[in-house]
Amino acid sequence: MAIFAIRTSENPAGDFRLAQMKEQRRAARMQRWFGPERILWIILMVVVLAVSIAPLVFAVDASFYEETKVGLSDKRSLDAVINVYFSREYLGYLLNALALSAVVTGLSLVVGVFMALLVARTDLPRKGLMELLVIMPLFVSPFTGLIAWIALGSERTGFINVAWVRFWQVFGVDAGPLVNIWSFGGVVWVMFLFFCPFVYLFTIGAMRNMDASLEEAARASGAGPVYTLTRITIPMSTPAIFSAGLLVFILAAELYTIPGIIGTNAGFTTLPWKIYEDSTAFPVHRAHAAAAGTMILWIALIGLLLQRRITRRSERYVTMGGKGFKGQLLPLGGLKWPAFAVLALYVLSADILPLVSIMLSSFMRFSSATISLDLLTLDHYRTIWNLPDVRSATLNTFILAVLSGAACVVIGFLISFLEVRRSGRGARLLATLAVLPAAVPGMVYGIGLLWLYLRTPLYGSIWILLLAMIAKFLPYGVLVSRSGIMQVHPELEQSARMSGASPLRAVRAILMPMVKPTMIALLFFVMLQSIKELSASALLYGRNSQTLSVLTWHYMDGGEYQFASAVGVVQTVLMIGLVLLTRAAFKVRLERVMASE
Amino acid sequence: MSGISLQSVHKYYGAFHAVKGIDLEIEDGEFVVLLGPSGCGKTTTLRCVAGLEGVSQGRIDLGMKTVSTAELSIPPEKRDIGMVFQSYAIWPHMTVAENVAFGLRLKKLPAQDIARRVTTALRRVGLEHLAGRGASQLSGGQQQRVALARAIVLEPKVLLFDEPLSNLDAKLRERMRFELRQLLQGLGITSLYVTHDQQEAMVVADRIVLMNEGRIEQIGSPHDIYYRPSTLFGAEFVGLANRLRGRLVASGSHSRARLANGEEIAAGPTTVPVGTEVELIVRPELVELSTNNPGGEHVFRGKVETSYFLGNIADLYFSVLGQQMRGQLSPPNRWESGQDIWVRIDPAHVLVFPVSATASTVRAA
Amino acid sequence: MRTGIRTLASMAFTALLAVATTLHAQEMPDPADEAALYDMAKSEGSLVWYSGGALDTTKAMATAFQKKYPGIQVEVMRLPGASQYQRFMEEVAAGHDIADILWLSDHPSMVALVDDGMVAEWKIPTHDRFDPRYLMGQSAYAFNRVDSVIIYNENLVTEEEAELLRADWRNVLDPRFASRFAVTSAKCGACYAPISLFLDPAQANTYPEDFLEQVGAQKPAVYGDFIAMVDRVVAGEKDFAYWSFESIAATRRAQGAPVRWVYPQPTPAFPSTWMAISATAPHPAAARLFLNWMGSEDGALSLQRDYYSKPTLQGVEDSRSFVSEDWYQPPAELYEVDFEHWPERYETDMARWVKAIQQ
Repeated sequence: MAIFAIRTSENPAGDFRLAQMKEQRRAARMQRWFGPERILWIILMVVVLAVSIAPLVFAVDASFYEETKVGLSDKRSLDAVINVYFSREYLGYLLNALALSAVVTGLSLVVGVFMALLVARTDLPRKGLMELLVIMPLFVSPFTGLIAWIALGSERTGFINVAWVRFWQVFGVDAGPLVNIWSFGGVVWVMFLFFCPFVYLFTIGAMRNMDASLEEAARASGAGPVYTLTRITIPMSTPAIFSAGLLVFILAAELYTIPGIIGTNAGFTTLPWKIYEDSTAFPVHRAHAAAAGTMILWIALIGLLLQRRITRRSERYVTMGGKGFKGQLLPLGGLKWPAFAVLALYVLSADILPLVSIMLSSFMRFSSATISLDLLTLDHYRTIWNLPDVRSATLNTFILAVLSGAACVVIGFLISFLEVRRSGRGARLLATLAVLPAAVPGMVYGIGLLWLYLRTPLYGSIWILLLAMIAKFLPYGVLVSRSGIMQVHPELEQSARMSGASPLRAVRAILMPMVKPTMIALLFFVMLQSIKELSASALLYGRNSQTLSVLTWHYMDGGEYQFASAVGVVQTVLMIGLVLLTRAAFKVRLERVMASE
Repeated sequence: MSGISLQSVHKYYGAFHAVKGIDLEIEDGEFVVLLGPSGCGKTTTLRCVAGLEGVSQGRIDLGMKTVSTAELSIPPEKRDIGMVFQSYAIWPHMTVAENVAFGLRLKKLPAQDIARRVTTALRRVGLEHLAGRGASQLSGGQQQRVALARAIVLEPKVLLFDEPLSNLDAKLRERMRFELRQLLQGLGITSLYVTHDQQEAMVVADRIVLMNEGRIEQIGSPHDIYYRPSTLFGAEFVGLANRLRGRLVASGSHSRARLANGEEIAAGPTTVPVGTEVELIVRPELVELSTNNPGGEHVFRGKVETSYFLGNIADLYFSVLGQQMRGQLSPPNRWESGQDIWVRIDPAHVLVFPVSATASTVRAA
Repeated sequence: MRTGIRTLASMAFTALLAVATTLHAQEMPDPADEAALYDMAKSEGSLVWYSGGALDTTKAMATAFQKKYPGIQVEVMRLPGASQYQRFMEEVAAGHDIADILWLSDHPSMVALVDDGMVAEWKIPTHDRFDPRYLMGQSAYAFNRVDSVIIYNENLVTEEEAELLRADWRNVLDPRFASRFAVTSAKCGACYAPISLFLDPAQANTYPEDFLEQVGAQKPAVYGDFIAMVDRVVAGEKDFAYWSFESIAATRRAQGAPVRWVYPQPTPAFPSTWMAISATAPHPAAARLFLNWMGSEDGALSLQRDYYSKPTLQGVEDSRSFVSEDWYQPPAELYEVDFEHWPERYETDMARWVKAIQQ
């Protein structure tokens, strides 16, 4: 400033300018502190703290209380934490969960990456159809899928085994069962089927965006297609593969239904199932459940930080409409149909068989290995049609899906925008906080939300469910819109500014139209996720705020598997309808845009 | 239209000091190039002028108006500046005409005016026939022209260019330099242009500002920058340079230096005191080579090591004065490896720079 | 910080509770004055029933009540397991009075509710027709009983084998049953009843010290989920489940599933679900009317018809459809579960069971 003063004093017009400058400076300071983006940041921060972080704090806090036979007392205590963190029992469950998660992740990675490679880089036949079918399992709730696979893969009565044994009987051969879902392998199998699409979805974008000349260079050096894919394409996609692996690892480490229901049969108890027992079975151990939840939280957090490091290293701007060189797809040659067969096998196991099985179940009076006419009934659907519960649950599900989808898109976009375009510590903090709940088991989260909102009018309404879903799916909102925004070169907006557009105008006229397909895909993805959501909903529903997932769970829990299947079918139909709607109405191919990270 | 004035502009990114006090006055209608290696702060300086970055210290004026100080930053859209980006930043979801019309529409001009001005601008860059085409279907060169049309259509007071040609292939790049220069001379808009390509800078610039590590090394005409570099950095960055290490034995208008092998060589004027370690810089094309002893002073014996025929010139590596030097000769006579040659180094072409003093003035008198 | 809120809220709640209980006590007509109670209930219009039972059976019973007392809407909120107690306690502490009727299957939870005055005293007209073991004073009622049964797939277990299982719990150790049956490691009150029998010190002469381990040595299939286990017996994956509950078995049979069941001797009988009126019920009269109805012969009929459960109201005929089927034999000898030592023994006994079957 000294320099400035000297200069102006030499300048006859300086006094006027000095005054003008002072005025401008005050305005500038005001702008910096109370400018629209600052206010936006504050609002977003409040939302994220209230929706995403506060419940987490409450959930963790619950581990520091003394337990009573029926809940928590008012007294603070470290007993539960010490018990959980230093007992062989809980550590054993944790190790089980980690081991299971590692196996599931490994398998999902191998198959998911393989499928992504085939779709992104080779001349696989029937690709358009396969692209959609491969991510279909995302539209079926794992719980429904589990019930389907119990019916399919039980040792003695599973449809697959019954068909297998009967087939060989025709030839007079006494064949043993082909599969057994009630085993460690069964747990891995079902989890793998449902997590594999995540790997596919999060790696295919990187492979698609890769410069094909790298592959061509390898081919030119004499490498065959397999060698090229494994030595060039896969290593080039390592960061994306790593992120996908971590995501699946976290999701698998916090899942309790599948390992709980079929894993116990194999003498295998995992930590999430223990948490479920601790918080629902008599006598409850709520502090233990909360403390065990923090264990999973730690793992997820470490994973998330690792992922952030790795993706940050690999994050590069990709200019849209730039010189991105897309070369020839790798010709598979004779491997074409074998490769297709592997994909088809997956689609059969993950989509077709479970769907057929669940459809069949929904028409059956009770579980049975064989199907006869007197076993079939339309009663379940008739009941669904007449039951007011189903109607209100469908309506609630729909409202929640639309609102949580919209909220995650808007908030996710704004947070990512600040993070990517206004890279400051504050914006980064905001994004990190918003992504954090991705690492939190839904159950832990639900407990926290319940405590937090118990004393508000939100309690028992669908709005508390909405908050849970926003918190749970905002991470997707942030991550997906981040990658969407990163693909739009910042100079595109800057050049709008240079043409006279205000910041808001530049975002509206340039950025928003360009990320629109991504955001529409995100909207529907979140809608699908919230239609499936159960772990938090099952804790938060009130008598007027049931959702289809909660209803399915009630019937399942009460033993009505067939009725639950019928509700599951309704739910799945709703989701597939949504996917088709996105195609028809918005010309957005979900399977494409979601995969464009 | 207006000039640009930068007064001790500094820019920090956290602890990183990207721009370390730039003072620069650009005349109305002048075409100034910021030249320097990547990371020298030239693009940051440009973006400060554009208002895309705030300055940490100092002041930027456009015409009579202060647009940037540490406290104040007039947003870019209010600066009346046009800018062409390195990535062209053509909006792929609009047609060529829509891209160009964007800023005019923001100004809410009548439709005929917009159409007329868009047509004029597109005609200027030779893209009239592509007005209706989707921007994503353009080639790199066409995108570059659209970006230019978009920048000039608003008739800004100042045009900024951020490495606008660096994504084009060599031939097109060379042609665009001339086109750009002609176009802007016609428009007479004050321009600030960033590039790391010295030839590009030479072609388009009225004045070149040579930057290094956040500071200005030298400001001058292309000719001055090339023939009278004020620093060792400038001498080496612009053009090719032979470096000879020695100790100054005579200073003043006829200086002399003793080289490592004990020989003495006459050099150009310098004020560096006698006894200083110096670098002597000789441009390859100014070295005179002959197969016969031309006689006279400043002639040394040498031997050809390798030679390359480049069409218009011969690129020659030879040993002389106990080290390797390079020469570029036109016309490109045939030279044989191992051939004995005579090397004449005109003292007027030997620039003297003290070792380890980067910004020391060694200006020719 | 939360401790502060919690303490404050519970203090406010206690004050509220005192006021509420006195108010209610004064307002309510005599339990036997059904007309007056019905009038008041009608003016309240509805009631909220927190049910730990299956959704459809609960709804069916609610419908039966509504048919008897038109003008009162029963809203069912299913809260199974421990969640009902948790939710109810938290809601009351937060000042959300939602529940009128609580119906939960955990004995200690109901004891806690009664001890803390969270539920209202109400002497239903049929109070004296219940065995005291199915009452907690005048505060909570166990209107139905759960008998532990062995449910079996009739296509896979012969009548002779069923007879064997009926005769004695220990016959499961017969080599012919090895690997053929299912057990559950699920932790629930009713699941514990037979375990409490096997580990009852008074029964030490009958059941050997390592009886649980011997059961485990028969290599049963272990299911983490009770319902999944029964479902697998229905489907024929396993021949029988080493105990389920009468009402679950009967529900499956009513759907047409090929299952039957036996009551091994002695049959643990267990007050499965306890019902009570919230002390802060927003619809106190409707709630009381409902409790009266549940304790009446009408309620008992509904429990039999809609829940396939055995009412504890004395002097009611067993009208359940399966009773008349020729394979059916009612339990011969009952074992009354010892609730006194229940809380202290439950967890260690369960842990031992889980360890035994997972060996």
